[in-house]
Amino acid sequence: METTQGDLQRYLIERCLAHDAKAQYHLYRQYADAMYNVCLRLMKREEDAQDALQEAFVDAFTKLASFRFDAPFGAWLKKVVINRCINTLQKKKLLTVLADEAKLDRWHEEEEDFSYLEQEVKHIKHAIEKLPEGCRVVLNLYLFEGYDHAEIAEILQVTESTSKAQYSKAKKKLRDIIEDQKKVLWKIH
Amino acid sequence: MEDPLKTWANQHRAEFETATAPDHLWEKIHQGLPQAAPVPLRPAARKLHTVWRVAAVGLVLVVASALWWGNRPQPASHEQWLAQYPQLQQAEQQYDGVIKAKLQQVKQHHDQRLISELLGDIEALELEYQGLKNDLNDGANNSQVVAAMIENYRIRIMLLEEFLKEIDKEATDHEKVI
Repeated sequence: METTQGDLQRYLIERCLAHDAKAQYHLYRQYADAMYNVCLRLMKREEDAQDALQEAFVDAFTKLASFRFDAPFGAWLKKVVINRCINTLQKKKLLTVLADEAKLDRWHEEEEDFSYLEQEVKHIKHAIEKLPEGCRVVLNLYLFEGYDHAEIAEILQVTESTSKAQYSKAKKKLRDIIEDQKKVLWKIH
Repeated sequence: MEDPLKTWANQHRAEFETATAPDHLWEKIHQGLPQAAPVPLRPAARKLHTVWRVAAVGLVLVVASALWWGNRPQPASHEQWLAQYPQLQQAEQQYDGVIKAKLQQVKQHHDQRLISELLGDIEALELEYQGLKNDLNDGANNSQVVAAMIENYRIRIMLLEEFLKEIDKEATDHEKVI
C-alpha cells in the first residue's frame, strides 16, 4: 500500500507540473495541516503562519520542477516552508541568530537541569513561544523539524557552533521562563 | 549523549501537531499559481463513469418498462415487501457492507474533489435504488424491479472497484517506469 501511495504521489506531482489544479489541491490537502503546524511553530502568530503557508505553497508549486524525486516530497516541501518562514522573519528583522559567538560560548558551560520537563506540556509550549526569536527558531528546527545542527546552520546561514550555542541558550532560557511561570503561579495561589 | 529535551519533544510530538490549516487558504494559493487549461486527472475513470452513466440510463429504461407491464397488488409496508423478497433482503445485507468498506477505501485518499465525481455517481444510483423501492409498492413487475435493484447494487460495487483498481494500476504503471 505504501508503494501505491508513493507512486500515486509521484503521479500527482507530475500532474501538478502540468498545472493541473485538482492535483495541486490534492497535494495541498495532503500536507497542509502538517506544514501549517511547522509555520505556527516558527511564526507564532496565526495570521503570520497562514501568510507563510500560503506563500510557501505558491513557492513550492512554482519551483516544483526542481524536485528530483530523490528524497521524500514531504521533506522537500518542509524545506520550502521553513525557508519561507525564515525569509519572512529575517525581513521583519526578528531573527537575530547571527550573534557574537564569543558571547554565546558561555551557554555551553551552563549546568543543565531538566526538572522543568515535569511541567504540563502546555506550560512548556507557552514557554517555548516566549523564547527570543533566534534561539526559538533553532530549538524548533532541532526538536520538532528533525534537523541536526549542520542542517540548521545551512538553513540559517550560520556556523554549526552558532546553531549549537543558540540551542543551549534556548534550553537555559526555557528553564528560566518556566521557573518564572512557577513563581507567578505560587504568588497567585 | 542523550538530550532529555529532545527525548521529551519526541514523546510529546503529537501535542505540537494539533493545528489545522484554514480552508480559505487554498483559494488564495490557487489564485497565485499559473493557470493552465484543465486537464482531466484520470481520463480513464471519466470514460468509465460515462459507461456506467449509460448503464444507469439503461437500467432506468428497463425499470420504466417493468412499471408499464406490472399490475400485481402490492404489500402494504416496507417490511412486508422486504420479507417477501429474501433475495433482495440478502442482497441488501451482503452488498451494503461491501459498499461501505469500499467507500472507506476510496475516502482514504482524502481528496473530495478527486472522488466527488465518483461519489456523485454513487449517490445518483442510491437515489435510483430508493426510487425502485418505491416502485415495488406501485404495481410494478416486482421480479424485474428486484432484479434491477440487485443490479443497481452491483453497478455501485463495480464502480467503486474500478475506481480503486485504476488507482492501483496507475501506481503499478509508475512503479514499472521507476
